[in-house]
Formats: sequence, structure tokens, C-alpha cells
Amino acid sequence: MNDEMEEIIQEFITEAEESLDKIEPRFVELEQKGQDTNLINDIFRSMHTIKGAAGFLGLQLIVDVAHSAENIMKKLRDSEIALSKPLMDVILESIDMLRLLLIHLKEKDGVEEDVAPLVQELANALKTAISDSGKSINTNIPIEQASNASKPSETMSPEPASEQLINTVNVDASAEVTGNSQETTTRSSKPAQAAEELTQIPEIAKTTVSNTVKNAERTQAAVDVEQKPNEIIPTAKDNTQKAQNLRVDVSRIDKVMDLAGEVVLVRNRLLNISNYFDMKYTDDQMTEILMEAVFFLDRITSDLQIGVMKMRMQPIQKIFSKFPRLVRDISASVKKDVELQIFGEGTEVDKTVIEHIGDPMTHILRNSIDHGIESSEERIASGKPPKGKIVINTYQKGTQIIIEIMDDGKGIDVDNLRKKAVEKGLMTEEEARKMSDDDAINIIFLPGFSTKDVASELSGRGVGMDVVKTNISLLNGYVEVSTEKGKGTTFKINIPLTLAIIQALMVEVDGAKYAIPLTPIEETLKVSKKDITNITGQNVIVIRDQICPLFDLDKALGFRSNGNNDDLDFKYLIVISLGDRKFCIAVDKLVGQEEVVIKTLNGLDTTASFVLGATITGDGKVVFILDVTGLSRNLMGLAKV
Amino acid sequence: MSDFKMKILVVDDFSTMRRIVKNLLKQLGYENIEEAEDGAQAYSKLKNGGFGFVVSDWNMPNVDGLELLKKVRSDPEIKDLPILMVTAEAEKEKVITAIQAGVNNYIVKPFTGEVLKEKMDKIFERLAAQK
Repeated sequence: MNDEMEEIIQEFITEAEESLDKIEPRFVELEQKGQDTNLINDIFRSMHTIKGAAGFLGLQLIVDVAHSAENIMKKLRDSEIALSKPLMDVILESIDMLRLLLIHLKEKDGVEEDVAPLVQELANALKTAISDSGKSINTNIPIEQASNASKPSETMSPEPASEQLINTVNVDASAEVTGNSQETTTRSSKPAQAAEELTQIPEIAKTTVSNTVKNAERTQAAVDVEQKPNEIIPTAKDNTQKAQNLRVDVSRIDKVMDLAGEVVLVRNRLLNISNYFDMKYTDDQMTEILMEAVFFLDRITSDLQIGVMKMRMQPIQKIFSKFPRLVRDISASVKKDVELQIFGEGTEVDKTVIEHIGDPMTHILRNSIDHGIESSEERIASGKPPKGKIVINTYQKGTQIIIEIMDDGKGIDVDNLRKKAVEKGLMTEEEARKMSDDDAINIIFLPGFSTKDVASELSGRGVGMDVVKTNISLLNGYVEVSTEKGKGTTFKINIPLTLAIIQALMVEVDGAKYAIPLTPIEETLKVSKKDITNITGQNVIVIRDQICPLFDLDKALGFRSNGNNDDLDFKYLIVISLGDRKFCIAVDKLVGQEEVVIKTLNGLDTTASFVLGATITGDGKVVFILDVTGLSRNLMGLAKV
Repeated sequence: MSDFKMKILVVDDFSTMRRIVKNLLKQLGYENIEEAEDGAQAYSKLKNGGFGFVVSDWNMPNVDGLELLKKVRSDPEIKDLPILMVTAEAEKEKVITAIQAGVNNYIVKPFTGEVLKEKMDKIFERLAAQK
């Protein structure tokens, strides 16, 4: 198979998955609205299109499934059969199968699904539907009329926002990269090109880059000669006013992201070097020019970084579009009536977040429906509306993205949690009793904990809420729970906006420098050694009447301390707060705050070594970035407090 | 005899399909190919002129292939533009509707480069004979 073909297949997978994402919520809508021609036609067209393209690519299994589903949709569209739950279920099944087939294709795992039973099922469902409604409905609808009916309303046209997908990021071709305060605007100068094929992208990129360079030069000129800003806007302005999207392979964006990271590192080094010259040759005119150039680079680099980061951002809607169906299926299977409301689906998050937030959120939703929301009878008995409600709310707060999942169910019974935790041997009775209610809620995140006596089909599967916590901490985020008995439970997920470049605190221990991500750091303290007490083998420190376990960083990382610094009569403590956990890390020296670019380390077991990655500092040294979440998991497992 | 410089418009809402058709056309030797996502976009591109041939999908949102065909045929400026319609399967009624609306030929998905060439050659032969 040649590269061109391979690329087309990749594009097909992406586009087909996107189509499925788009039509899936339509089914739930269809169930609510009944036989809505526009909705049916939307779904029909997507199936039809997927089938058509798959045919060209020789993907026979996909053709078979899509064809059978399309047949049903066509009959529905032409009102030859009536919509029914069995029909809906079997079509949803076919969507699941299509997804599965696409995954096999993507993974190239060579697994062949047996689609024959499903195709048979689809055919049977159609047959039943025809015999059910065959006589009552006039099957002789003229083609003309059908094709008129196929004209969807304006609102059905695909919104650009839902165009995002897993393997490609839509880049706003007219995205502005501001060069400096003078608003240098870079645009793809020929918008027609934007619609061109993927293969032409390097050219466009080249155009854009050379434009950027030119504009940067011009802006420099503008600073000197005070040129009018409108002269630096490319001439093709009229054509670029329409929002244009460019579909770019994600690996290309990641490459740019990497390069931007490198630029940041070089910038940091240059800043260091130029500071040296500034100190040494203050009066030299060239030094002044050098400083000017470096500062300019500094500003541009920051803007470049933001620009690249924005390219990777996608509306979180991409994930949320799956939830209406999910909630429908789950609530049906546990015979509960649940309504889902989603707010803030336009909030943009990093692509990596999109890829990894789906599973933990799905798990939380499952839990809310399975354990949180009561049955209609129970709800009526306690004076609530019979229909349960789950609200997902997403918003940006500073440099954090917050996702709240709120249900109006019965809440978490904290005393029950304590009891179960003791029964399962996760803690002693005394420990459970001593726990505050806030701490006790977090029992649900302990590995091996599930409150239902018999694990139900949904929340069971041996996967607990601990996985939710782990997944979210992989994104450098954390999750908080609050609950009120009888009123409901809220899960609040906090995730940093970007994952590639972070603010870090540089620390030193045993002469080695480490970077600690700033987000989980609550405060830093300088304490005298005599303030540190040892309780049953565990060092602790009292901070404002709260006992906090304390660990030496070198020991925590598994190094044997060389003892040099044990003579010091004071220590620097970094107070880390991760959701429910709070602890201190002792280091020899606090160096300062720095913006670091996370470089992944290949061939290193990052979980075992508690290293997130490495970065290169301004003085050109390689420094490890610590994985605080992993460290905390390990330390708190050992802690006795 | 085929004019490989001729500007061709490929109309389909699924970008993979546009790419496939474009590829097939390129294999046949055509170089000047543009794309449109639906009938509305296609129509405004065609109005700008310069196109010698259209390959259009039938099933599209907004303005579908049949509507595009009708619009083109009723527009004095571009009414003679040859249009090849792509359909999923040979549905007789559909084909008849399209022929009545003035389509030059139709092609059933999936098709090969040879079939596409055959259909295009037929269209151009017939057009040449009419002149």
C-alpha cells in the first residue's frame, strides 16, 4: 500500500469517526422528538457517505454494516417504516460496530470482526418493522418529494465546532499570531489554498512562516520608522475574512510544538548569556543592541508559544457529544430516568486532555447514574421530581480548566463509606472514626473500593473510582468531591490549560537541581530542624495547627543522602496539596521559579522514577521534572499519618 | 484529445471522497482540480467561471447534487457545463430523475479510474458530436 493510499485511509478513519460523533447525539434527539425527517436524513446521509468512501477503499466490512443501517434509515426517511426502540437499538449497535471496525483499521491490528450476525440482526429488524407498519403506510412516495424532504434546515448544517477530531486538529487558518504590541497579523495569504489538500500544507506553512518572518522584519521597521500598521497586513485581506479551517495532521503540529519548545530553551539560554554581557560590557553599544534583540526574541517567543498552544486547543464538546447517548444507555439499563444538561461545551482544552478526559468522565457519569440518582419511586417519595438530573459544567478559571459533574441524587453516605472501608480492611475502625467527613468522602478513590454489595454490570468490572483519580492525575490535574445527603454529589475536575510548558519551582538537593511543577505547590516554608518531630517513624511538622507528613526529597527519590546537609539546622519545605492529600517535601535550597518545557524521556520508566520528564534550564543544564502525583502516591502509601 | 488543463470541480461533503475522486482524476492526467463541499459552494465557484467539468456527489447537505444540477441548467451563463453525477447504487428512479434534469452521465460508487475515464470520454464524445 503506497503512502498516498495510507494517508487517504487515515483521513477516512478520522472523518468517519467524526461523522459518527456527529450523528450519535442525533439519536437521542430523535428519541425525544419522534420521527423528525431532518434528523433521520442527517443520520442516513452520514451512513451513506461512510459506506460510499469505504467502498472505494475496499473496506468491505464497513460497507456491509453501513449499508444495512442505511437501508433502515432510508425506509425511515421515506416513512415506509415507523421508528421504534428495537430499530433504534440495532442502529446504535451498528454505530458501535463501525467504531470498532475503524479502531481495528487505525490500530492495524488485523483483527477481523464478524459482522454477519449484526447484519442479519439489522435485516431482521427491518423485516419486522416493515411487516409491522407495511400495510398502514403508503410506500409509494414519489422520489421528487423524498428528495425535497431531504433538504435539511439551516440548523442541521455541521457546525465548525463539531469538526474536531482525534487525529487532526483544525487550525484556524486566519488565527492571529501577534508578533508584538504592534499587532502583526499573519494570515495564509491565499485562502483558496487553505481548502487544498493535505499534501500542500508544507507550502502553506512555508508561506505563513515566511510571512511571519517578513512581518516580524516589518514590525521591527515599524518600531524604528513608525510605519502605519495597516501597511503590514497582507493584501489578500478581503479573501481571508471568512473563517477558514485547515485540517492538519497532528504530528505536524506536535513537531511545531516541539520546535517552539526548543526555541523557548534557546531563548532562556540567550537571556542568560546576554545578561552576562550586560554586566560585563555595560558601556559597549553592541551590548545594548544585543539586549534589544534578545528582548525582542523573548517577546516573540512567548507569543509563538501561545500561538502553538492555541493550535492544539479544541472545544471539549468533542468528548461531550458522546455523553447524551451514554446517559441514555446507562439509565435505561438500570431503569432510571435521567436528564443530562451540558454547559460550557465550547471551552477549549489541550488535545491531550480531550484524549484522556473521556474515560474518567464516563466513569463518574456511570457512578452518578448507578449509585447517585435514585429510582423514580424513591425520588417521588422524597419529594423530588421523578426525573433525575445530571449537569456537566465546564469553564476556564485562570490557567485551569474546571469540569463539574453534578447530580441531584441521594448523595454519598459518608458513614456508610467509613463502615465499608473498615469491612474491606482498607483502614482500622479507629482511623475511620478519626477521619473528617471531607476526608471520608475520598474513600471512594481508594483502590479496591466499591460500595455496592454486588458490583452492577455498569460500575463494576473491577474498575473503581481510583482509576478516575489516576487518569486525571496523568493530566497533572486532580478531582474533588462534595456531597450533601439527599441533595446530590458534585465531582469537580481541575486540569491545567497546557501540558507541554509549565511553571516550575527549581529546587536543589544534594547538589542536584530538580524542577517541581508549580500547580500542586501550596506554599514554601523555611523551618528550623527542631520543629520537625518524629511520630512512630514518620517525620511530621505542624503547620498552623495541622499535622503534615514530611519527606526528604533525596530519600523519597530513593537516593541515600550523603549526609552533607543533615548538619544544617534549617530546611526548606515545599507544601504539596493534591486533592485530599497534603504533605511536605524537604529540600536544601529553593532556586527560583522558571518556565520549563517538558521533554519526554525515552527509555525511562517514569512511574518508577517519579520523573515526569526533563527540561533544559537557562544555563544549559538538563534538569529532571518531578512527577509529584506519582511521588505522592508512593509516599502516602508509606505514610503513617 | 482530452484537455488535461481543463479546470474540474469535485463536489462532495466528505473530504475523503473529494480526495479519492481528485486522485483518480490526477491519475487520468488532469491537473487543474478544485473542490467544493456542497451544491451551494459549488454553484458560486462555477459562477466565477473557468470550469470545464463537474463531478458531483448526489447526497449532500444544504444544496444536494440534483439541486445543483437544476440550478446550473437553469443558469444561462453555465447551463452547458457537463456534469457527472456520483450515486451510491444504481437506483433506476433516481437516475431517471437526474437524466430528466439534464445530467450528462452518472457513475456508481465505488468506481475505478478506468470507469471514470470511460464515462468522461463518453460525455466529451457526445458533446463533440453535438457541435
